[in-house]
Amino acid sequence: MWPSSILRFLSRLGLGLLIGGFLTLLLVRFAPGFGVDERELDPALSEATRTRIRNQAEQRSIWRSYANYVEGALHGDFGTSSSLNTPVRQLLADRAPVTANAVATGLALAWIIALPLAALTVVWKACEIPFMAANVLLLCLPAGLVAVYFFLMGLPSTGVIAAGVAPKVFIYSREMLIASERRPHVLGAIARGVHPWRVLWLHRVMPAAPEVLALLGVSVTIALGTAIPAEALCDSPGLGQLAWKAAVSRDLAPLLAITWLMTVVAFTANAFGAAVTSSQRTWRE
Amino acid sequence: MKWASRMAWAFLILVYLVALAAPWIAPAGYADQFRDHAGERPSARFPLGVDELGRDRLSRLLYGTRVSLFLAPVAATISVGLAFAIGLTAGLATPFLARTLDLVIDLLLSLPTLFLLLIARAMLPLNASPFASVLLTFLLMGALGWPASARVLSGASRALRGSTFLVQARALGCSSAGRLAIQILPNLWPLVVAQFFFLVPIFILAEANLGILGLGVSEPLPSWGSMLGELTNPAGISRAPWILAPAALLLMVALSFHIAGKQEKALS
Repeated sequence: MWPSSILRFLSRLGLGLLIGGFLTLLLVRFAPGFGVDERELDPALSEATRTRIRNQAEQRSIWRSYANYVEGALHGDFGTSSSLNTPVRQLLADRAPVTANAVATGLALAWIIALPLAALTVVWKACEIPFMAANVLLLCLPAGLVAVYFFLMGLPSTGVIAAGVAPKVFIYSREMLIASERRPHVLGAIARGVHPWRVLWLHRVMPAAPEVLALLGVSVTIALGTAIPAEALCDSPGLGQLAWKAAVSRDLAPLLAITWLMTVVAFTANAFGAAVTSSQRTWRE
Repeated sequence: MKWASRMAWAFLILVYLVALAAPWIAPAGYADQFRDHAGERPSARFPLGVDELGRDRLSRLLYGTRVSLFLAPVAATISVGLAFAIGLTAGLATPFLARTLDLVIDLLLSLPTLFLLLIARAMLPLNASPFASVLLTFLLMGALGWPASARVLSGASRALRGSTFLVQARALGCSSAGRLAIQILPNLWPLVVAQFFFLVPIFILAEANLGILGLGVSEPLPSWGSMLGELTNPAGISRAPWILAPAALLLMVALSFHIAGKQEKALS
């Protein structure tokens, strides 16, 4: 059972990385800017030189570029950042702990805030409208705007990540809890006069736990996406800020490496969420 | 909540009408510069003040509304179209093809879309026209935003496949095309509409995020995102709180789409 699950996970991860990397390169290759070297904008160059630069870029085979990149990556060589003039591997090593810390803290905060609030709105109907309104407002705010607010207030970027993840955890877990409201065993417990909090915990939260935990993987993907505006605008030296700087300076090597790294993290988190859900279901059965 | 949905629709229609009428009601062109008034506070002539480059903020907001409000639905249509085609195939195809498509959807769902958008946006040529940059940004969003909707639609079509009325239609001799046209599509349609309303605010917010990061629509073309870029100057907000107007409008429009989408979801 275990070896086959691990094998399946690893094959999915490998496939995901290959697809993710290839999609990234494909986007780059067919972007209208591909082959438009900044040197071409130099008015001192002759038309013949510009054409040569353009042809050089266009003739590079996408398959060969991809194979070369994968080969290098397997040896730990992700290239060198042209804008920062530093090996990408070193940039990742320096900045990954900052992002890992921010994402982990942000996720923990989001779950700690959102889950009890979702449970509270299910049991105590009076607080449903204000909490739902606040949640919808957060869902309708761009993460960049939240990041600007946090920066102005002198708050850390972890808060932005928490604010990005919490509304989704809240809404999903609340829907799960509401769905369990009309199940026969819940109605039976209420009819027998079991205390509402006990009904909530034993008959609604616990049975819904596997489905809610499946959200763990999705929330990691959301947190990683939110890390870009959070770190870029709150001036936190993590991978999100590096991705932003690389995008602004058209530096492809760090962007590609970060996308791969984020894909690995998101995949692992999703697989973990799926494994927890499946083991919980098996245990219950 | 019917009244909330009605209000949301009324607000969206009003904003669309105002955006359509921008060339006639805007006090100036979006790129017109009033250099003697640069950085000026709101006045009767410039109700939202003038930006640092001397451009009327109200005019830019009106034209920016056009960009965000008309292109986000285009991107959502592309995404929903792709999601519908792939989700329907995954839901109704043979088990092998269905599993393969499910795997592809799962893989793409795990990809951090914002990173891919950053890469693609960063690769746009430096000399790309503003219109080309905005169009490509939204087209990319449309091309990358379909997996979540595809998963919903594949699940729904799978549920429909096992439904009794479809089995009955088959037993009565209804052809595959007939079943698709008469039984499946009308049942999936409300879900498709709900997905459209779910995606529009997501794309509006994504463009706003790119704009705040300076990777959105190129100057001088305005969009809500590019106008929100002004907020990154911390001193600016306390000195000129009216630069928050695009943020307020964006919030209200996203909220209206959210409420309208909830109503569509409830109906589906």
